[in-house]
Amino acid sequence: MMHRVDADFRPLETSVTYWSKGAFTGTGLITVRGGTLNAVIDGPLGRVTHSIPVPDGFSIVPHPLATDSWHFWYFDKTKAGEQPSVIYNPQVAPRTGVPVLGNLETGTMTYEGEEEITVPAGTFTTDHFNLNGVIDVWMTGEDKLLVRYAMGVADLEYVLTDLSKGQH
Amino acid sequence: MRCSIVIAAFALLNTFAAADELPNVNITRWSEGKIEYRKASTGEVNGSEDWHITVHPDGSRTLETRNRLDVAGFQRHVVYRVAENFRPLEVTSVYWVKGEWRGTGLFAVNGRDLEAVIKTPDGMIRQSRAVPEHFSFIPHPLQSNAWPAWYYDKQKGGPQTMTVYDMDALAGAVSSMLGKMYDQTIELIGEEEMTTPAGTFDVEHYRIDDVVDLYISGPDAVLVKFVWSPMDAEYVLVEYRASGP
Repeated sequence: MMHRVDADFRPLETSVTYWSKGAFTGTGLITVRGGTLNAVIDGPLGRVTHSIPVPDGFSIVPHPLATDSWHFWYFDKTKAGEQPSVIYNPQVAPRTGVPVLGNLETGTMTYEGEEEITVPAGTFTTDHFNLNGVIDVWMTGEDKLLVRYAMGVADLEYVLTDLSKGQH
Repeated sequence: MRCSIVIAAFALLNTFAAADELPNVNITRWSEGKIEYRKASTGEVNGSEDWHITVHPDGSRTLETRNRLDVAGFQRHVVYRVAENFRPLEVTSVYWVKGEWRGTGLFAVNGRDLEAVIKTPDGMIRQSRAVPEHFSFIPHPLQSNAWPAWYYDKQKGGPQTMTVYDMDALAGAVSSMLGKMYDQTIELIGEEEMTTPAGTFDVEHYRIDDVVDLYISGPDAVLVKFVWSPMDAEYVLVEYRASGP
C-alpha cells in the first residue's frame, strides 16, 4: 500500500494490493485531482473504474492503521463539539460488489484534547480524536504519526511499538 | 504505578511478538533485505534500497521497495507483483526526481495486454498495448532487476533474448513513467558461491548485454549483487532476513 497526501494531508493518490483469505482480491490506483476521485481496480473481475466527486474535506481509508491518523486534518479545533467527517473507504470485504472499489461514508469526529501517553515506542504528546463515537485515535507530531488506536466495542487496540526517524 | 506501566508494556510487547508469529493464510513465506548502491571503483555508497518480498498461496510474489539514488536525486516507491513463474502481473509506483514528484502509476498485465494509467503533474496518461508471453518489467528497484531471467532456458544455455518493458527512470517529458519495450541478450555464466555483508549465498551468475553481471539466489531470485561496469556501479545485498523454511 502506498498513500500520498499533500502538505495539508488531503489525499493525492493511493495504491493498494489486497489479499483476503488466501485469495488475491485486487490492485487499485486511486487518484484525486481537485474535486474528483478516480479509481482504477484490476482484479479477478478484470479492470473496473469509477469517478466520483469528493469534497475538499475528506480522507481515504486504505486500511493500514498508520493512515487512520490522517483523517482528522480538516477538523477545526477552534470549534467545539462534533464535526462531520467524509471518508472514501476501499472495500476489503466488498459492499460495492467490486473488491477494493470504495464508497464515500459520512460520520462524525470530535477532538478529545491533548494527552501524553506512553506506549512501547516511547512517551508522546498526542492529539486525541474520536471517530463516530467508537474509535479513539492518538497521534503525534507534524506527520500525525499514529501512537494508539482503540476500538473499545470490538476489544481492539493498535499500539506503536517501534519508531525511528531520519532527516534525509 | 511505575511497575504496572512496565508490566503493561511487557504485556503489549508479548502480545505483538505473539501476533508476529501467527500464521497468515495470505503469506506462504517472506524475505526482506537492503541493497547498497555503490561506485564500484571506490566503494563509495551513493544510494540504497529496502525491499520486502511476500510469497502468496498461489505462488505469486509481491515485492515492495523504497529506493534512493542520492547522487542523482532519485527516490522511488514501487510495489511489483509477479506470477509464480515471475511473469509480471502489476506494478504500482511513485517517482520523485530532484525534489519534484514526477508521477504515480499503475501498470497491469492481463494475458497479452498491458494497461497503464499514470497520474502526472500534467494530468492523466493512459497506455494500452500488447505484450509477449515472455517479458519483464523494469520499474527500477534493483531487486526487480533480478527477475527478468525467469524464462531463460538453462538446458539450452548460451546467449538468449530477453524482452523488457523499461519504465522511464527519470519520468521526464510528456511520457512520464511510461516504458519502452526492447530486447536484451542474457547468458547464464554459471553457479557460484558469493559472500556479501548479508551472508554467503549460492548464486546464479548471468551476464546481460556484456555490460551487466547479475547474481541471484534462491526460489525468489533474490538479488545478491549487480555489477554495471560501464557505469562504474555495483549494487550489493548488505542485509537479509527471511521467514523460516
